[in-house]
Amino acid sequence: MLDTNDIATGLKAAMGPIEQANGLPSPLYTSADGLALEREKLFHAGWTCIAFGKDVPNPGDARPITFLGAPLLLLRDHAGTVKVYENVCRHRGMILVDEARNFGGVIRCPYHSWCYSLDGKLRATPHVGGPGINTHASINPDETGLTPVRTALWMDCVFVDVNGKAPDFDEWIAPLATRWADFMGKPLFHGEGSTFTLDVACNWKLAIENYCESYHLPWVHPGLNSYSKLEDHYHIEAPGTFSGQGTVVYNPRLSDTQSFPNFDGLPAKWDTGAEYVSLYPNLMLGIHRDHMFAIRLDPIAHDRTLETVEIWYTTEAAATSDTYADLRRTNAAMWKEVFMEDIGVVEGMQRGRHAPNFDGGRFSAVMDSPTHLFHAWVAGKLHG
Amino acid sequence: MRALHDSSDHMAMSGLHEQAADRLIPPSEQRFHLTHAWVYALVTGDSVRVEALEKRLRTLGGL
Repeated sequence: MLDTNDIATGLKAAMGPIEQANGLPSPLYTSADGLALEREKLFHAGWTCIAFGKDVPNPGDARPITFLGAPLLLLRDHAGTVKVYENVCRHRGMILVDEARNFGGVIRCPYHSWCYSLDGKLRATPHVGGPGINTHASINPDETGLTPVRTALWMDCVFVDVNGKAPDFDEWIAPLATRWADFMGKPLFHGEGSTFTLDVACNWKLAIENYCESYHLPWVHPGLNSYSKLEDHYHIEAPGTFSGQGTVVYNPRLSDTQSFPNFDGLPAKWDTGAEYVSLYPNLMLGIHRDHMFAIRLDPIAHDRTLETVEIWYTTEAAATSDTYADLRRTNAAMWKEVFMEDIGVVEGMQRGRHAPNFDGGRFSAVMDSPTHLFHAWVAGKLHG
Repeated sequence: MRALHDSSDHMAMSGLHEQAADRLIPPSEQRFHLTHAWVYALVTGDSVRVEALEKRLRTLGGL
């Protein structure tokens, strides 16, 4: 595994003041060892988004998720609560669930049929004491249930804390929940036909770095820039948690005759305001008066990232009715076009990271501070 | 039973194993088949059937 000593100088350089800082060292973009280090110190060592509540819409729904190698099981129990367990039988370590499905009863291990109820309890151990003898003193069901993974559901995003040592979720999310207090507690409805995935040949961090800043808007997003100019954007900075950008001229003009309903009771600033933040490490969010989107980054390899995009609306009708179907299609297509415009630059930066003498780059002290904050956070977590 | 092995018809599998247990066979074989009937009933979520099978297994010393 890449040793932090190997890149200590580069990490320290990334943590310095923006005027002197370099970007993160290139081994973190160009080597499998770099991703392995991040797996240990970032993704499995804090709250990370692995899925969305809409992925398990009904009680009994279960979906296996391999999160940077860790086999997890996302499920919605019969009471409707979203839970995550390690997707492994406590007997011999067999993977329990291979594909998304609904469980009317227990989860049965395909190997020796140990059974678990959806609350994680070990419900049956057939023949464990010999043929037809289904108990044994050495196996205490109370101690041998599914291993739970700390889970939190916020804005329909499922977060897990794999190593179990993260701070309380409500405390951790408080800075963003406070910033977006006007939207908290308002129902979200997942849009039909509002899911798409982009498979991008870049390290996951490059997607975050790009999303954080509006600096590239005029050159990479000419359509967006036509009504939301550089000077209409502002920085959002919460060191150690999230960073990004906001706009004061959100005005998408999807249709001349129709618009989505707004969240109830929003203050006037959101009439034309919208914000886009990267919640470290891997969730990029966009909030508007009439919809929210999330882009979850799943690092497949050090040089490949899956970006799963979901859009939620403010009413069930806006999210699922035929009345809004065309508008939903138009909105999803618009965002897809914007996000695809970024692919060239993030893949270009990935290739650039192989330049033998590239020092990680430098930052515009005025325009790049949200991106620098992300670099400083990563460097701090890896350096310790 | 073999034809149903790879199917998802757990209700049918549970029923077939219980039928096997109902024949006049040694208690050890009854326990074996009732165990399988019980597992498949747990999978279907039929709590009434599960409770009945657990009662029979307890009587035979299987639980």
